[in-house]
This record gives sequence, C-alpha cells and structure tokens, in this order.
Amino acid sequence: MNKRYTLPTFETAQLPVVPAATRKNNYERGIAPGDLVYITEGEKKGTVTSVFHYNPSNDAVLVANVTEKRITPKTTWVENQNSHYVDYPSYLPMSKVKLAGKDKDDEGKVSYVVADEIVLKDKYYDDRYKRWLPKRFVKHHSSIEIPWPNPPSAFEDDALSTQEPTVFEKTYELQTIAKAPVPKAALNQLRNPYSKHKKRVLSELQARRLNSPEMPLSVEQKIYLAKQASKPKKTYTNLSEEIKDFIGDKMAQHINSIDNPAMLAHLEALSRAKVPDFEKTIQNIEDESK
Amino acid sequence: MNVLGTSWFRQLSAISPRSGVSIMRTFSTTLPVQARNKNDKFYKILKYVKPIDTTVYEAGQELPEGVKIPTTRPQFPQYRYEAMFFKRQNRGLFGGVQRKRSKTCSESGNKGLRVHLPNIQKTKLWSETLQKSIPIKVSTKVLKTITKEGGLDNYLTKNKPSREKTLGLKGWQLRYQVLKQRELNELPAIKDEEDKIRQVFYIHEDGKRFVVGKNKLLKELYPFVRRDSYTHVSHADFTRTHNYLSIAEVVKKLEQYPFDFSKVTI
Repeated sequence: MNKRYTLPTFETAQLPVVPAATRKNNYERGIAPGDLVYITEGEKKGTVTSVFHYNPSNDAVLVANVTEKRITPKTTWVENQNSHYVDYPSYLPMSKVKLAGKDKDDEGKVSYVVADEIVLKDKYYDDRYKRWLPKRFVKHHSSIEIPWPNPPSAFEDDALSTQEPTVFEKTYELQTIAKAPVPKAALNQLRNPYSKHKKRVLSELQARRLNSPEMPLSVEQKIYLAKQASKPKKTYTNLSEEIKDFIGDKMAQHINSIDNPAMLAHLEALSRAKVPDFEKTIQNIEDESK
Repeated sequence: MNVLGTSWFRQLSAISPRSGVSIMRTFSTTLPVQARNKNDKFYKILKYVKPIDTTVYEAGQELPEGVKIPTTRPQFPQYRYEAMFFKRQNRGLFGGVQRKRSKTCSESGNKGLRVHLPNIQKTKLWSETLQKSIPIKVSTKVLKTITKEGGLDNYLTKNKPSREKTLGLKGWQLRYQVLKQRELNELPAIKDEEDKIRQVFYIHEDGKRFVVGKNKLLKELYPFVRRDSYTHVSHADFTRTHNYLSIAEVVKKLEQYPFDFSKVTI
C-alpha cells in the first residue's frame, strides 16, 4: 500500500534492528554528521543531502529534507508548534544512501563523486575530532579519498573546562618500582573485594552444608568390623632357603621333562612377565623385614 | 626364571598351538563396570544412576568451581543408586521392579507399543523403631519381602548390596532414620540420686553421660563465649557460628571453659 494514502499515525516506522554483536558506530561504518549522501531510493531519489545523525541500532541515517507527515502527541511538541500534524524527520536505512564527496574544479564548478562502496584504511589522528580515524576511499579507486567532514559543533571551552596543556602536564613520575605507588591500606578501596575473579575459600558453615551425613553402621556391619579388628594382623615373611630349594628342584624337574620347544619358549616368556600382586607381596616382605 | 610369583599355570591356554609363538593374555586390572554388564541382575537400575559427589569439603578450602552451596544442610546421606528414569521408583519401595514393554497386535496385524506397570499399592507400613506407620507406595513384591524379613525395619536395614541397590531413594532415607533412631534407642535410661529415671542423650568419649540435648548445652556455652570475646557477641552471632556443631563438638568447646558438667551429666 502506498504510504501517501495511509492515515498518519503516532507510530514510528519500524526499521529492522541490527543484532548487538554486529553493530558498528558511525566511525566504523564510515559515516559522520555533516557528510553528504546520495539518496538511491524513495521519494527523494537522486538528491544529495547532508547527514544529521547515524543510528547504529538500526543502521540508518537522519538526513536533511527527508521527512514524513506525522501526528505528534502534545507531550512531544517543540517551541512554536501549533499543530499535531508536522513534518517529522525520518530515518533512511544505509542501504538506501551512498556516501558522496563534493569536488570543485578550477573554474569553480561543483561536482559530486558518489561512492558505491567505501573502504576504510590507514588510521590517522584527526585533530578536529580529537581521535584516531580511518581514511575513507572509494572502493577500487584508492586515489579518491573522501575526507571526514568538519564536526558539526566544535568543542567550546567554558568556565569549568580544563585546558589542554593542563591535562598533558606531567605532575607525577614513578621514581622506583620497589615502592608501591598506592598505599596498601587503600588497595581495598580501589579493588572489589567481592570480585568473582578473586579466589574465595569455604567457610565452616558452607563446608558443612556441602557434606552429607554418613549412613550409620548396621548391627551386622559393626559385628563384622569388630571381628576384622580382633583378627591378628597378617605378617609377611620371606621363604626359607630350604623351601626355596625344594620349589626350585620341583620346577627344574618339571621343566627338564618338557621337550616341546614352543612350551619352553612360552614358559620363558611367562617368567619375564611382571605380576603386580607378586611385586606387592615382595614389597610387603621387604617392609616387614625393615 | 621367576617362577614363584607367576600364576603361569592359568596362562598356559594362551599358547598358540600352530605357530608355537607365545602370546601373553592380558587381564584387565580394573573392576568390570557393573553398569555396562547387561547380565547384571540390577542392570535396569545401574544403567543410569544419578552421579554423587563424594568429595569431603573442609573449611578454608578454595571455593570449588561449579558447586552450588545449598541453603540448608543435607538431611540424608547420599544414595549411590538413585535411578534417573521411571522416577516414581525413588518415591516408594519398588524393590527394583520396572515397567515392561510389549507390543499390542490388532486383528489386522498392526502393532503398537504398550507398557506394563508394576503392581504398586499405597499402604501404611508400621515401623517398630520409629513407632509410627509410614504411608508409602510399595510394590507387592516388596510387601512379600517385608513379610519374609519380619517387618519394615528389617527390610530397610538389611546389609546386602542387592538390598542397597533396590531400596530406592525413599527407602534409603527411611533406612537412615531407622538406624539413627536405633542409635538413640541404645542409649540407656538411668536413675539419678533422687530415684528419678533420666534418659541419656549422648555419651562422650571420656564416658560422660549427658542427660540434656545439644540446645541446652549451647545455652550453657553462650555466656562463656560472650565473656571470652573482646567484642560483643550477640545471640544471633553465636547461633550462626555454633548451631551447626555436633553435640560432641559442643562438649569439647565446653571443656575449654570452667564449666560444671555435673548438672548436665549423670
């Protein structure tokens, strides 16, 4: 439906919202108040106007001469307004505008360069904006630079503002790293003692709240444990030489009677295997003898 | 040749008869994971149990990450076999019975799944130890077992791994209550000097028999703690820092002060 035939409403135009993660400020987007833009769509198509404001949450610009008729509630009236029905500045999405550069030739003839796309590169310190800004070039035409416009309102000093040389004057210099610049007693006021990044320790109550009670032992369990406790402790003793000889003889007798080389190889391999239980028992015997 | 320790006779079967090359059979040193063993009688319970935290936390320990500190102290010991499916079995004595599945078949041969729920009855069971009847949902299978064991308390306190697995969360909590009550019941009631029978509530390590509970001991401890501090200790402060102590710990604290134990012991 053509917007011209619809009744004016209080509602504002609903522009699509840019997700917060992909939002850019006007310098990252390459547009600033005071820039010239060429309108590519809509009623004012083909005209060059200047930018008032860039809205990052909708990726849209407020430009001069682009307005819509709107009914404004009385609470929003400005001075000298005597009707609800006013021309209200409307946002243009950035897809409907293109950045333009003004150029004057030697004869004083004004021409405009409209950049289909722009490239931001080579940061420099802009003294007018008091910040680092990228240079703007027309894409694929690195010789055509579109300079940033003059900021709409220059910074004016008033009675309470601090002068620039006063700010840059160095009044304190760190003399030694052996002595802390901030007194220790003041640290707690500068830092957050409740920071989640600080290592916290469990209090007595917290520890008790985390530990569950133990299940009491049943009668059978108590009897079993008492029996185990009354048993004499297991002692480990080394085999006597006589027993060792006896076992060795038996083994030798058995092994000598085997003539299958595969079985002998197998027994050989087995003898090299490490048995954890055996090693543990030997360790126990050694501990006992000490 | 090291022959004394090797249990080589068991490993003889590992020989490969054709090649004559010996192959060592490796035996798993870890215990078989019961939960994965489908032949296990309690596979249905063990296949997905709620994991428990067995860490013993201590005061002064670094605050563990990802552990939520409960607002109250846990009432019951942790249960290792809390099933995470068919959760109604945690709210009654189901004895490990689960729902079963089968297929229905229509005349035209279409099949549909259906379930068979276990036979669960809502009853009141008398606990001899707790001296009260407990309204609870019980499977008929467990009712039979309770009769066989000679009462609910015997069923709950039987010390077998299978009983522990099939008790369910509710049964585990009841077991704790019963065993705690039995511990209390074992404490004697003794005649004092005025021939009045007094119930002993706690016997200390050194043999002191206390005829009062923890709250009354805390009441005795408070004036000492207040006098001991340079700053004011309000009763609320005292409660906050002493209420969680066990009766044994309260007695140990009282022993540090010149407290006359004769008025609370027998």
